[in-house]
Amino acid sequence: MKKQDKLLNALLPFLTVAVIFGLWGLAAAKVDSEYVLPTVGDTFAALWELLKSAEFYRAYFGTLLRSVVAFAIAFFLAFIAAFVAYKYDKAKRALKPLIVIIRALPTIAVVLLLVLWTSSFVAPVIVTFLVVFPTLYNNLYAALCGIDNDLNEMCKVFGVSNKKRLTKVVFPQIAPEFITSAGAGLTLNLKLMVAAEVLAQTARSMGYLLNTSKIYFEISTMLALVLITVITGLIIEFLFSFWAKKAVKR
Amino acid sequence: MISLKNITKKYGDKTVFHNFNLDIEENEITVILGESGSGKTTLLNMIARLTDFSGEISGAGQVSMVFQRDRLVPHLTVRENILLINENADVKRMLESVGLSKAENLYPKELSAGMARRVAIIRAFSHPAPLLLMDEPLVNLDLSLKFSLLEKIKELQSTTGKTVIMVSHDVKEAAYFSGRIIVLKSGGEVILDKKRVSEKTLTETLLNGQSI
Repeated sequence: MKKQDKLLNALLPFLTVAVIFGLWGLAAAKVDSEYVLPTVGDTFAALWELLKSAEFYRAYFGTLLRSVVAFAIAFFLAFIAAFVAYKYDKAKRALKPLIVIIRALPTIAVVLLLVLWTSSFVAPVIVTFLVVFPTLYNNLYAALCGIDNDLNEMCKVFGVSNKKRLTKVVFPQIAPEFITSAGAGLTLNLKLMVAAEVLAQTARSMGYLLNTSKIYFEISTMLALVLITVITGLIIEFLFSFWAKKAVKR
Repeated sequence: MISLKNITKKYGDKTVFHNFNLDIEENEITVILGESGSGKTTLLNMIARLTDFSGEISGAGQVSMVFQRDRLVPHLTVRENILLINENADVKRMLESVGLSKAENLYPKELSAGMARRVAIIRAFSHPAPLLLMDEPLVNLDLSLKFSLLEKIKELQSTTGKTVIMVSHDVKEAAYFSGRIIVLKSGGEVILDKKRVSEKTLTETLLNGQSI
């Protein structure tokens, strides 16, 4: 690859972000109302104010923690379900309708019902679990199906121990897919968590801050909170894709 | 002695072997020749216990194998691929013996077809199992590389004393070893079982498909 092409490739993501901010600035100037669309400057000022308040950190880490917990439960159960489905065709058939039903559940209705049945802290965790679980199950199942059976046979013939087979042959084959799925799943989880918290009015959460800002018409604060969620998602995806590349040296 | 007694193997309705019997001498190379579908690979897979069958195979024990595809682990280097199956293998010396001293830290995708074959062959020879199964180990290689590897297989067999069962559909390869050759016909019928058979005889046997 030429040096110029490399430079262009490195600059392209920044150019895209610059274009988005440019369009935002133009639209804000055209609308000319901080109650409809605040300027980029106003939004960053609101972001700075948020970063100085202890309440924001309580909300941010509360949301993050709930997202991680929901994701960990979803990933663990999706792995078990995918493994059982991979091993036993009957289990795969039995799981199929369950996955389809979970995927078809109307998210907002489920949040409202779960708030009635559980609490505003637990409801968003269950909802994000329900949305992320089917996607994770499908990705992990596909990763398991991608295991090269020829290599398993080779290990069997040469009498390679199960421990060595799993750590040196099987896991490195599925690790990139697992890590990429985990990164995408966690980002999706975070977005859903914030949405569910808004509906459930979960205390000490990003969703709660968004709701309060909406009530007081603090649109720049709302946009700052959206910006923080987007940046957090991007960081998660970047870290996981970097990890996935590192996981296999092919 | 490796003995196959009353072996029957079916794939669905198709019978590949019916009451098949064969004895294989230890510490020598036996070549099994036959056309596609004659059951050569199935025979090796049964000895390696990679497929189920009825009947009895005795004396095989632990085996090592060169597969039709190299089956090198793509995310492990050549060195790691060999150590995976034998932690005590003298990788450097083995690679040197097949002219691959500089390939130790390469990944399989960085190897040519010929290099990958050589790695697969020395990996199998590095395993301590006394019985080595080779499933068309030299298929799709150019002629000069094929014969240099045949020579290397002969040399490694004589230094390690392993029992080698090699499957092939190439009469030149089979005749080259000048050892015992078994020609299989579709249905698992043995139509030739002799030592030191000429290339011409083998060709005629395969063409006629009849016992001689």
